[in-house]
Amino acid sequence: MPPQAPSQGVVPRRLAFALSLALAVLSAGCQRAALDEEDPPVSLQVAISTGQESDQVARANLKALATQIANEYMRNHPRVLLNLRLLPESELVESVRSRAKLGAGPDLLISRVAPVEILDRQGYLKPVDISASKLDPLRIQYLSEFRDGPTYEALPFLLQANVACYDRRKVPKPPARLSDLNAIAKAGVRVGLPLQMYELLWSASAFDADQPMLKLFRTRVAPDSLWEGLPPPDRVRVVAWLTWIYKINMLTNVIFVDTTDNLVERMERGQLDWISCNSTAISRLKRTLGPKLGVSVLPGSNDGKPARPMARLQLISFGRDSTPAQRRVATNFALFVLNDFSQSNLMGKAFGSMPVNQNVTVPVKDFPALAAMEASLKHSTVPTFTQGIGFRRGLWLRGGSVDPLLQLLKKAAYAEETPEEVANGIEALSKVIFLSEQATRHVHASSSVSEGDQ
Amino acid sequence: MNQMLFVLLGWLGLITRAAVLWQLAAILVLLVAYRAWRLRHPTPTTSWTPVFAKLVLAAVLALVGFLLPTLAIPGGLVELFGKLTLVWTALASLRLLLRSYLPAEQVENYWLKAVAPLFALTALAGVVNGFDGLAFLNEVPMLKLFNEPLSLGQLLLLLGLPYFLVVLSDLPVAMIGWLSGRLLGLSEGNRKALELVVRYLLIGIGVLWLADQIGLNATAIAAIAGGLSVGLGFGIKEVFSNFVSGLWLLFEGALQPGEVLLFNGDVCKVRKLGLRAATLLRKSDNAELVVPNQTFFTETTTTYTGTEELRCGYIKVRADYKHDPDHVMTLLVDIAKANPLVLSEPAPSASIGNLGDSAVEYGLDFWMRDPLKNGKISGELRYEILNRFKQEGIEIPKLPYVV
Repeated sequence: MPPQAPSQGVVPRRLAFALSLALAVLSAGCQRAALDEEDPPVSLQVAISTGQESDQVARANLKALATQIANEYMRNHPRVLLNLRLLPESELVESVRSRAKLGAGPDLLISRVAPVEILDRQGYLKPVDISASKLDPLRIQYLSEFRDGPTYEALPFLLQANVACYDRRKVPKPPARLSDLNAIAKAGVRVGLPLQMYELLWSASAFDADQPMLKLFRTRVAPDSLWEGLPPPDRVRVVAWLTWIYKINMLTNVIFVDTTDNLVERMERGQLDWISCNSTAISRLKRTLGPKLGVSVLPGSNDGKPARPMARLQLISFGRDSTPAQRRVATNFALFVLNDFSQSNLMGKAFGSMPVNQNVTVPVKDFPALAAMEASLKHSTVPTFTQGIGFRRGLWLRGGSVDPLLQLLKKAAYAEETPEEVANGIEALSKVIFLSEQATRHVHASSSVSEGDQ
Repeated sequence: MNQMLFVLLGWLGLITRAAVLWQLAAILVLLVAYRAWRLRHPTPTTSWTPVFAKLVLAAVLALVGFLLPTLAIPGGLVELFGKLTLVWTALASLRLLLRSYLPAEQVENYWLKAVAPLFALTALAGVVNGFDGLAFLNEVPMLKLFNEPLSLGQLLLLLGLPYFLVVLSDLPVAMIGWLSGRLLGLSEGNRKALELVVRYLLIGIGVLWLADQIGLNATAIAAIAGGLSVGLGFGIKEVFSNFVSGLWLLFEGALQPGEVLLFNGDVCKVRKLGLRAATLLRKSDNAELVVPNQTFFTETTTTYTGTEELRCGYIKVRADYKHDPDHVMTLLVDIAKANPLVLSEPAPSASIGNLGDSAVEYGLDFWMRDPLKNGKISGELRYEILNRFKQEGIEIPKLPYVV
């Protein structure tokens, strides 16, 4: 039976109700905007990347630390609510992208350089304008790398060094040169090395192959620039380094694995005695090995030059969807976590992370591990939007599942291809990445132009 | 609980952004316009017009979502609503199609109890996921259960899953029953028994999965078992006893839905074997009897459909001594054979049951396929016997009155 036709008065009444509801919602927003001028109760969404590895311990530590900092800030600013969302690095870009489509992107992001660069390039971030009077006293390292005219695309937040972790019982004296590493491996010390390029760059530096590799995988190149392969002298250096990878892998006590997380796990299980790792793993290893854990700088070249590893840099960046009040609070919060007190506090509580604020004194005499980290950072290459992050571009191109550069290094380590062939593969990969970068830039540039036209 | 409040307040910070408000306003205007159109153009529930209207609404939402970015406003939320409308339209189409093949009441029942709530939940989850992701569900602690923290996601599972387990299991269970019936050639009764067992199995697995998801440990399970023991000892002993009886009857096959039995002297058909009680349909007055399962477990049950479904009927007829017994018995057998509901094999038979004071008492045995038709067949046979006796001049002596 068909439903009864409504009386004529019902439709206007219902319509009026619905419209008044819509107006109420809109006016609530307007009233809120008006209130913001005076004393804004502001809610902020902070997305924090928990790193690439599936390290639950590190994630729990990071969550506890972030919650503590947020609580400290909210205690001082009772009308501010900070909502922290922890995401694996592999999900960060997609999460921000999908949320931004709804106008609900996070106000603040804390993550490593690579995803920030992608989000920035795709227009999901908005540079922050902070006066020099507020930033200069903090003496933030690497700040100028992210400067774009009067604004900053991101702010450096924490530094994490690439170091060597070892079992003191098995390694009384850590190797200072690559030849020492070979010697201890031959003497029975079980050595673990990662195959991720940015974690293995220190070994390339011993052959002066780090700079050619960085140049080969440079990012944000000028739109009219052409791809350049390895010049012959650089190629010789890269081949020498690839040969070393193959030779050291021939030693029975040396093992190459895909990730540093895996190396840390093996060391925790007592399967390895010396590994190349990131400083964020120190507290985790300390829990297992206790005082037997030793931390040192990574081995340098055989002629005594120190290793030039690649550090990790955590950045603070700003979402594009924030209201003015949210942006203001986000900026204040960023300055709060960069101030002397917070940075010093973070260094103490998040062992393995070093402050970017140069006013903070690092107690290197009290903690030898901190001394090793600082020494490592002194010679480290710090990733920026133009260097260091290109090593992982191949991973992004393949949808985040297989890192082609890692596969190439694996071929070198297991002699599936000769060092020359691997060098050719590396060059070819860098060309593919370069061309895709160029294409992306063109698409992005043309979409920006068309948006501007409208 | 405080963290949940934090999450909600956090969403407020997102929703009150101008970009989001504009999208919400656009969605609201379109929904109001659609509703107004529906009110002005009422249609029967079987009409396809509302489906097409919803399709247009979805298309308009998608278009608005596509165009909003040209005004520097993100259109993702409008697009999301467009997609949800599209899914709703597809479900509404399916509902109309199913109404053509299945009883409308059954379709509507499933729609109201399962499809609509599930869609509402999915849509809500979709919107929340778009705004904030769903990871927070596992990070917001709500309360403690047996000293184990229960997150918001686990609490929602605990509250929602049992309902959907019971409601949603209907369809797969019916499909399994239908398939089993077709493939294994099960009888109606066995099919229904199988459906019930599968349903309990699904619910049981779901409950175990739920216990695992909410992190119930061995101590908690022991505590629940302890609580249940006390409960069983006092309040719910009968309920549990009936439940176990029901399961036992099903597995034993002693009582199955569709079976015909004699209950309190009345022929009844088992309609449903539930958790606590069986529902019987009394043929004589079409009344439904709800009988606790325990009754069938502890008392003797007379069934006509246990191992074979044929039922034997019996009619007693009196005739005067002056008539030839062979003639009377042949007549009775002929009458029975002439009835289409009486089986020819086993053949009906007549006999002398008793030599009474004033009459010979004859008995007529006949077989029927449907046990529920005994009353109808007996009535028809008695009517025919009266007529034929009158035609043949066979007298039925009256019983002598003793004053």
